[in-house]
Amino acid sequence: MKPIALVARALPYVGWLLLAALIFVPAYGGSRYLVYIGTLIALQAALATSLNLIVGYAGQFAMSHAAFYGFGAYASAILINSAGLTFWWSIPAAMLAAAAIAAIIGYPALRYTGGVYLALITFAFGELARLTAANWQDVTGGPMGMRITYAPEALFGFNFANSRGMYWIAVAMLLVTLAVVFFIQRSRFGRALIAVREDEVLASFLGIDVMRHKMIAYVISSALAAMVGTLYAPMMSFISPELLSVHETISLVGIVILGGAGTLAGPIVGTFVFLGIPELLRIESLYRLVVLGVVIVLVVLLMPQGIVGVANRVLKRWQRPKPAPPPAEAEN
Amino acid sequence: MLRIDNVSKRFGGLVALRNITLEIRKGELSGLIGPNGAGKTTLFNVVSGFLRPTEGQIFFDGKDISGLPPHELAMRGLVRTFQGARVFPKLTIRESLRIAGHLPLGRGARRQPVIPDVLHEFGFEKYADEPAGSLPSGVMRELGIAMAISTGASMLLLDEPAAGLSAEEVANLQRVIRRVHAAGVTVWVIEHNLHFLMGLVERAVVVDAGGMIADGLPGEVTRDPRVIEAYLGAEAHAAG
Repeated sequence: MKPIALVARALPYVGWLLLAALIFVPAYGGSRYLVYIGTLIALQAALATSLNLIVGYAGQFAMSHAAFYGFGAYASAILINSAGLTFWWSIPAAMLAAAAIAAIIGYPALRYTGGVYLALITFAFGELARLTAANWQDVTGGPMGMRITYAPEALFGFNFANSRGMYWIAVAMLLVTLAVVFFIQRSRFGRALIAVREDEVLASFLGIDVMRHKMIAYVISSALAAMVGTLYAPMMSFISPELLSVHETISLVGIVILGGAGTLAGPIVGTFVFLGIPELLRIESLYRLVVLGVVIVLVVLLMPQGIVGVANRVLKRWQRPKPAPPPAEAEN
Repeated sequence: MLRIDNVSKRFGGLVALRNITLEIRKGELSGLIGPNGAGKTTLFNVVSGFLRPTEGQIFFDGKDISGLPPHELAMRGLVRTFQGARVFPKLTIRESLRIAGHLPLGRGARRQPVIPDVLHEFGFEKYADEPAGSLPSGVMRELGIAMAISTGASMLLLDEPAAGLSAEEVANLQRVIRRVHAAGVTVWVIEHNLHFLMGLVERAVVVDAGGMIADGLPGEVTRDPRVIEAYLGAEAHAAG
């Protein structure tokens, strides 16, 4: 085998090892700032990875991801404060509630081919959820938001109440989300999702229940978003209706496309670029969005498969044995 | 195997299909012919679950399937292909066939494909990792059929598989269809081109203006005056 093919084969593993190494940096070497940034990146990457399931694999533009993220944060906070649940029990409770809501929203939204209905209905739901959070004063604290005073309880003798403990929860959430997407990608269900993304009509004539597949992907994706949201509340000690804003969803879609929709590593790479470029440039926050906007436009125009999509294609070309070289042209 | 019982389809005031009754027996290789606009594709759309019949019933393997969605029909073994070549353009042949094998791979699989290794049998190895959208159109048609076979289909509806192919590609396609039929699949082919069908099928159903005008051996139906009129009329019209 040619050396380049070996390198091409090894590179993806090197990438995952690098991620594994990065995970340990905030845990041991870190300042408070590094732990904070690490938690933020892990949460954002988990959120983007879960969105990738419905946007990247199933090809459905659901605009409700931030709404489910915010829903997870609020639902968990309310359940803990009012119903006396522990933080750990609030996670499955918030996920179940999000799954039920996603099923109710998804049923009318996903029945039709073509993304416009889905985008509109999920957008409307997101706004509805945001307005509810902003106006239901007694429960949510209204537009001023909600101060969070609880912290995750100790579990198996491990203290999760400090920022480092919460960092580990964020990492665990990222790993769970990655594992879910990894196994779906490898499964019959995941391949059927890709068929749905590529051509719904053809998929249905090959025996794939298109509606059911889209629905399951949407429910799983939304429940995972709610899971990530439950940690956001104690981590920031404050939640507000802005969390559910559609801008957040659009940034997430940007991250997924930037990194590579429909690839496992894409959302993680996208998150690093999205959060990393502004950190590196250290420019005025006003211009950060401009720079990011330009980067996203360039990626969409020049490499619609995203960073990882393009990298995968190049690696695949290197992995394959070279075809016989074309006959030599006249030397000149 | 497939029984169409007094099926009609109307779009508003337009009658696209008028009281069609016919039966395709298990193991048949038959054709559906008729001039442009006669209702061939509408009939296929109604049978394959793409459209709901306005009247009448359709039975497959003895069960009423009228109005069932396409994926339910595919699960029962009735699969269609599309006019031209409908494939997943960005996916490779290997990926496409794997997706099409969705049903037989499942735990509740009812049937296995009649040809277990379509990739090999159809001679796709040399293109296996190419995106389907970059294949020659003849290979794309064959891929469409291969995908249908991979679902474990027991009956195939092929919608104008030969349209726009070169003579050599047509010969290849005929060989593929014969091969699939020999493996035990009931095949019903729509074709506008009579020459393609005459050398292939053992029975031809002729429709014109939404109604069935002939049904029999291909050699006989082409001598039927009504069929000649439908075709010549259409050609004279096209020439004028």
